[in-house]
Amino acid sequence: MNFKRIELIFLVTFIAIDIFLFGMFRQNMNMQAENVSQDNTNSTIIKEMKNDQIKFNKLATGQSAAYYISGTRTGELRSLTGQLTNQTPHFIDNEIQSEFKQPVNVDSDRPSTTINKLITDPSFVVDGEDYRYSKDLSSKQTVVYVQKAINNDIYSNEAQIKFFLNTNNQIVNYTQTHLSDVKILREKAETISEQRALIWLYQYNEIPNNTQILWTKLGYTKLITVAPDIVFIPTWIVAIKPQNSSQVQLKKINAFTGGIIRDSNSELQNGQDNGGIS
Amino acid sequence: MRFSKFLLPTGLVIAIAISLGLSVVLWTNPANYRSKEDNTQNSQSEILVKPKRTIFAPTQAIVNEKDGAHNILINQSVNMISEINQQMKGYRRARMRTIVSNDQKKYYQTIRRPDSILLNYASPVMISTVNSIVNDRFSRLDDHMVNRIILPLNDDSKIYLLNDSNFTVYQVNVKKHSLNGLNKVLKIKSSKFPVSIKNLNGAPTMYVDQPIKMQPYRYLLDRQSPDYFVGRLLNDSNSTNVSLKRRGSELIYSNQGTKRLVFNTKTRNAIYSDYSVNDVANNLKSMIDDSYRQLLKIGLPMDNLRFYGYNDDNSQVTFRSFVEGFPIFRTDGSGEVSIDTVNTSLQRFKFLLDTPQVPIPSKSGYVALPTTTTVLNRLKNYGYKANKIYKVRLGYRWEQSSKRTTLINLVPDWFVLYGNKWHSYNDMLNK
Repeated sequence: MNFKRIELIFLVTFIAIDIFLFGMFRQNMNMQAENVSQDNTNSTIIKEMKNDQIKFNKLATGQSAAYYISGTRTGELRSLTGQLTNQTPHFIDNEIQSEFKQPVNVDSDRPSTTINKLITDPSFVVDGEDYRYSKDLSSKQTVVYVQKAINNDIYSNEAQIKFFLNTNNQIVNYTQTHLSDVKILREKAETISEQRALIWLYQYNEIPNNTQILWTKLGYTKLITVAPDIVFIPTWIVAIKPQNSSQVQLKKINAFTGGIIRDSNSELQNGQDNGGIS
Repeated sequence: MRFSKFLLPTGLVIAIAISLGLSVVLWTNPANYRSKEDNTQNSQSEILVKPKRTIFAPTQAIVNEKDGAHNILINQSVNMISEINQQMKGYRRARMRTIVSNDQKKYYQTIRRPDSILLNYASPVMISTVNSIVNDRFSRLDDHMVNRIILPLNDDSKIYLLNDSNFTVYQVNVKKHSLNGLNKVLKIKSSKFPVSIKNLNGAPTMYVDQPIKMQPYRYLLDRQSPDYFVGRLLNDSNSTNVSLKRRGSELIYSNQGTKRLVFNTKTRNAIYSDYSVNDVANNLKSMIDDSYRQLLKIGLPMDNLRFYGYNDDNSQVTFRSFVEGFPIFRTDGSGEVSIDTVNTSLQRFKFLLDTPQVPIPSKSGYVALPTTTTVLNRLKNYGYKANKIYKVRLGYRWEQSSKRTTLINLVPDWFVLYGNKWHSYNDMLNK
């Protein structure tokens, strides 16, 4: 065996070792990246969810900040009903229930465009500028407006206007609740990300297989009532629709602690009585 | 022909060099070992873990105005300290030197430095603790004890770290950075309490110069069941059976080995004792690092908890809940959590099953509190010894009408570290 051949054998061996070591090196780099963030576990769970046929759009991973807030039910609504025209308002249990004498015509495709123009008119509804159209909660027959609060909207029956439409695209009546003196109770705190909320919901077994996530929203929902005040917490509201049903369910998760908020999800569904979400 | 003569040996040399290089990289890379510890993280996912930089953050922010006045920054809707800390992440090329040592006069000059922000820690920490706030930019600095940080508003290349115990000032030189962020934070509308910085028994103290008004709060307690903590603290791989004994109002859980957990159902206190061998060194740095680890292990809600003290004598680290920038003191002066490293074979945690979590609107009006000087003078008149008063601070008194209710009142008051225990000013006068 000559020297050249030995050299050649060594060269081949070392190239093989190099390839092996490089492979290990690459693997190490990946491992490091996974270690640095928790992305690893998150992405495997996301994969698991996809395997379970749960459909959703790309989830935001950014955290935001929100507050504990409170609002008060006062008789303010009642005192302002005098301004309303073309309707007969009744004030029952902190709620205005009002019927229009002349039904109000609205845009057939997008009723909200018409209502958005009307809503700031104090003779149409009281304190209309405090509300915002909610596409998610509205349906063909019910147009829902939610009350705006600090940075986010309030998703609660205590702070909503619901306009009920007839088949001729006319508003026939509406109900309204309102919170006054909406204030911050405690300094700003970080909320969990949309992705985290969904992952926890999944881990709590709240999202069945073959389900579509229709939308997620960060809003305020009712925590407790300390009469006459109501305390609200930032909440991730997740609308899910099992594939074999038309029923939309709302799941809620505390955006500060990540705890699940159970059994009160009926509260929000009233706006969707007349079918699914448009 | 000549070319190929060199090709083989050169190729061989290169191949050997590459394999050597890769071997070195692989051996020195810690990633291999780290991946094995990963599993322990998962059990934590049920609670929201707050990073070390939040738990070991300064507890008070003071603006040293251009004209020499000092104001405590208080804001009900924004945590000013975390806003300021957010601005401290971009320091580059940090280098440190000692500019004042054992010089009380110059030390006070630095604390009072006009046109700067003074961040006070409730109790000394290490520079390595501050390092967690500044995004690891101080990792190469020598590790010393620090009580305060000065962020100049008119000098974009210096930061000062201060140690009360030996009146030492460390100047950290950093690459020029923008001060716009800090100035923007100061523009957030906040209330300000004017203070003056004076000496109290050998330590700089913030004296509130004018009577102040503070808002009382009501909070809803977040109640945890003993089972939750039994599951977290007593279940380890070696022993599976946990025994339970009842003695009066006490529930005593034990894992038949080295760990014991005692709940008092009346006071809702818990004491956990771990008799297994620990390797916590008796110095501030390892106590801080270890106490954070243990805090995660206990699993209490962490959003309001802050590091509040380390006692050298009994190796005790304490944490307190904070409300709107002020600490909460329980009737006996204690905080929420304390972690004692009694010796290398005993660690004892004391904590409470209830944590203030949800604020409830409070209708009661503001409470007026006297100035620091008035407090000190009145205490002296009541016969308390001036040289035993070490610290005087504003805070909230935990008031609970009965142990059963989950609603507590937080009443503003002065708190005095008299001897080695915190007392509320109100209690001291009524004794």
